[in-house]
Amino acid sequence: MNWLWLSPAEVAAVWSGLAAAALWLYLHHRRPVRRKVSTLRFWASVQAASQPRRRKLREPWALLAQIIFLLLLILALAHPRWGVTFEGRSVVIVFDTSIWSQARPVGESPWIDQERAEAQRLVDSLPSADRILLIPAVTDAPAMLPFTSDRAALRRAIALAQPSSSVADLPRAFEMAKGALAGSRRALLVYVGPGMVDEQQAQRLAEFREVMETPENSGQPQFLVRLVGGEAPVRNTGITRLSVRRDAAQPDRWHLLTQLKNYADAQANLILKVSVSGQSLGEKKLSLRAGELANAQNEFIWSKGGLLQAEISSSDALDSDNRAIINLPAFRMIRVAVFAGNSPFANDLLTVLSSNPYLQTQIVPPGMNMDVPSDVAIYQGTSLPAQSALNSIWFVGGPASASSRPLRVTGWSSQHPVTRWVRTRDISVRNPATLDVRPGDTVLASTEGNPPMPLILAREQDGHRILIIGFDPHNSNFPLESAFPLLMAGGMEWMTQSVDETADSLSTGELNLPGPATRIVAPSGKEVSFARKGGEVHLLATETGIYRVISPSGETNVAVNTPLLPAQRLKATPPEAARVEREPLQRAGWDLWRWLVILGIVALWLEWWLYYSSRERQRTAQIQETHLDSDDSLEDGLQDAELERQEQSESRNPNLVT
Amino acid sequence: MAMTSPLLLDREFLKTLEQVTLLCRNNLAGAVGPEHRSRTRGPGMEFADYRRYTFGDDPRSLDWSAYLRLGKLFLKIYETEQHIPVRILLDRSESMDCEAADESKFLYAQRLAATFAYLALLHLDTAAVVPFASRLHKPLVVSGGRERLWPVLQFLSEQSCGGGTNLFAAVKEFMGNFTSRGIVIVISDFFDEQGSEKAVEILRSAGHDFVLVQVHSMEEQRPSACGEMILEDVETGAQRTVECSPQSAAVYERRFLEFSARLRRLALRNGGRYARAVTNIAYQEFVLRSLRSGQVLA
Repeated sequence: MNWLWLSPAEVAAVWSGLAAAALWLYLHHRRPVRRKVSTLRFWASVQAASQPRRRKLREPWALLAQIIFLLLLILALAHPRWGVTFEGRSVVIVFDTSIWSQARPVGESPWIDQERAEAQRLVDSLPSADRILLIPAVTDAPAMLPFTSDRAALRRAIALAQPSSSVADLPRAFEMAKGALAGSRRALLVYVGPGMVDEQQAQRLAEFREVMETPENSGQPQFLVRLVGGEAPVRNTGITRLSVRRDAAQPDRWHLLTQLKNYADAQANLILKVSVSGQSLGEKKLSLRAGELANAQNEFIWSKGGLLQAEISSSDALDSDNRAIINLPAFRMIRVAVFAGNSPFANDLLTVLSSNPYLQTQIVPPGMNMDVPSDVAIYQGTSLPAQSALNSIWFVGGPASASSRPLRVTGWSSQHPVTRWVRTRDISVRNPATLDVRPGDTVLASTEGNPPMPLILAREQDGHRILIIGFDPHNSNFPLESAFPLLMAGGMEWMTQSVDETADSLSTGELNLPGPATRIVAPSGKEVSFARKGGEVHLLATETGIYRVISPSGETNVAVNTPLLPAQRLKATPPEAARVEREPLQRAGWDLWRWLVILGIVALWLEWWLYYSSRERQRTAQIQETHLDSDDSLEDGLQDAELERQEQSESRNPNLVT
Repeated sequence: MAMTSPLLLDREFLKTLEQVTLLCRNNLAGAVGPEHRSRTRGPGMEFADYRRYTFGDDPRSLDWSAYLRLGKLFLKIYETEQHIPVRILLDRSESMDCEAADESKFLYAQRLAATFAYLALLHLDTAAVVPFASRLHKPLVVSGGRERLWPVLQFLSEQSCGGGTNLFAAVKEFMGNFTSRGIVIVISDFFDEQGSEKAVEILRSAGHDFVLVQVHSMEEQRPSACGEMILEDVETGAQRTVECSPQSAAVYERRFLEFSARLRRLALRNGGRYARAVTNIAYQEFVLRSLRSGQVLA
């Protein structure tokens, strides 16, 4: 007999427990129901229940039948077999669908096809009772097929497996596979793929192999590696990163950084072409040494937004990393409104702001301030508003005093974007305002003294950014210093974030994107499932191209490219390259559970028959006894024949009146 | 009669009762008055016969037109119409409020008492509602027509069950309080440990025209419960553990019917009448059909 799920000791324990429960139920005397009645006189003739002094079994044969039924039921649940039982193995196939599976070296078939053929061979070589789990080698990807012994489904899943554009993490995939095999007495873990790993993965893989080969861990699954592709290094160059930055002085000038990698062991010559929305922006010849990771820098003029594509013309084994794309943001002038009329203050500001090519400055006369559309507003006054509807800069002077002495401005904050370029100690101010520093405010500059008095504050309020300068520029030498335009430029950049605009491409794999999203569509048009984590969304990007992130506020595009690929080839050790261990030739056992269920039903029927027939016999005997008694007394009571007839008629009509 | 009683005697039923009379079997001598026909001659509204005037007769009964025609004094004789007091002995012992399986026995009994009282009042008789349990409780005596039903209903609705049953003691006390003969209707389940024989004999010997109305529920006739039970008598508190089964329920029912038969025999042998009311039958149907066919009502 072979116990699939329960050991004989466990069966015995379960059966003993249930038998004890059945015995208790047989011995248990149910508590009688309490009831109030109008009179007991008619109950006097009804048999009184005899309270047994000690508990004893009334129907021992029925109890025996029930215990036998329980035993048969538990045995059936244990799924015993008669004869030698063949127990299949648990097998996990780690099928590498990473970007390297797209490779097609010269003279070879695509690696994904080789992987499919190898996996099919493996499946065919395994006995039909083996349960196989098919998982990809890509991080966090779901299983391709859960544990099954359905060979047709496995072949179909292998044939339909498509390469992704993400990078494999083989040690992690092996650990997952090992976890899935935990608890299996006989297990097999097979990797099928090109076996490309980076240095970190190689190190973790070595540790994994060490654990698998430790003699103490004899219960470990057999680990096999089936590599595809030749042993020669793959000839491939690819773009690993794309980054653009807008020029600080010229808004339509862009600086492009392209990172390239030569994965081959020979020098590679290639041409890098850059285009935006299909319009070529130039090309560059490059030469990369064996294994070199190089950066190529370009500059180009482009005022509109669009999709920038960098492409290398190289006939190599892997096409998908030969191009990369990135979104170029469109440029828009920042509108600045100066609410100061034609004062000297306004003219000074206009002089400073008009030299900034990112800004479009407008002097607004008093009285028109609410109707002027602007991105940043600059005000001069003596008090601050409670609320501000715009990003704004406030020049707030203190009360004029003839006796006030000039105060030197020190303590510039070098961490804040507004004042990071300002270092001067030559600025002095008169009649500064006393600024109220609220929680969340950042003091950007303060006067000398003990304690220092805050002079410039950065505040974020109601979704707007406010820069508060606590002195009148004309009561200082600030407008004459070079720090003034730097401060204004820094303030504009902090508020609008348009001057120092950069864009970096994202890589396939796990992505965290900012903002809420309702749908994310992959470049292939498929919807991508994602998780929300606070204000971010987390997704697994397995394709390269443009992902559409759809949110309640609109749609944004995110460019995803191939990352730096692992370049080391895994080498299978002799035990890993060995054949699958043969299963001993065994014949299947004979299932016993059906017979046990039938016997159990018979035992259950027997128990019922023994129990109820016995009770029925007892009851019949009691009734016969009481009928004899009642007939005697009735004869005494019903002597009058006429009244007897009336009784009969009364039974038809209980509300009879005489 | 626009009235909503606490005992829910509906208006249609009360209207129907106007065509019903409470029958009296014995020739009871009572106060002279309207409504009840009797064989006694006396002051009344309905002419019965003539007789010769003798000294001492009431000259207001002389027939002057006969004197003018015949020259002799004749006296008109009328049928006497009697007041027959109707006394309703209502059992309010604890056993009347037992069994919640169907409608309450006591409510049923209260409605019957109200019905009998209304019938008495309709015919300008005196109605007395006398509650009892182990002894007689304070009675209500009303007369003066149907308008006096409301106090009866109020009185009945104020009654609640409690105590054991002692019919003999209650009837003995009743005899002391109500000396004149009349119709006595005993509404009870008659679950009296001492039996009802002595009480019935006292009623007969006092010359009352009595009716025993046995009220019980179907559960009391045929218990539906099964299994082992501890039964407690609500009046005595005595307990008995029994094993209930369909077979034992049949034995029980036989005993119950035997008890009812004995009670009926007792009533009939003592010149009274008997009615058995099961609470699952509507009380209107019981009054209009069963009591009429049983010669209690006409």
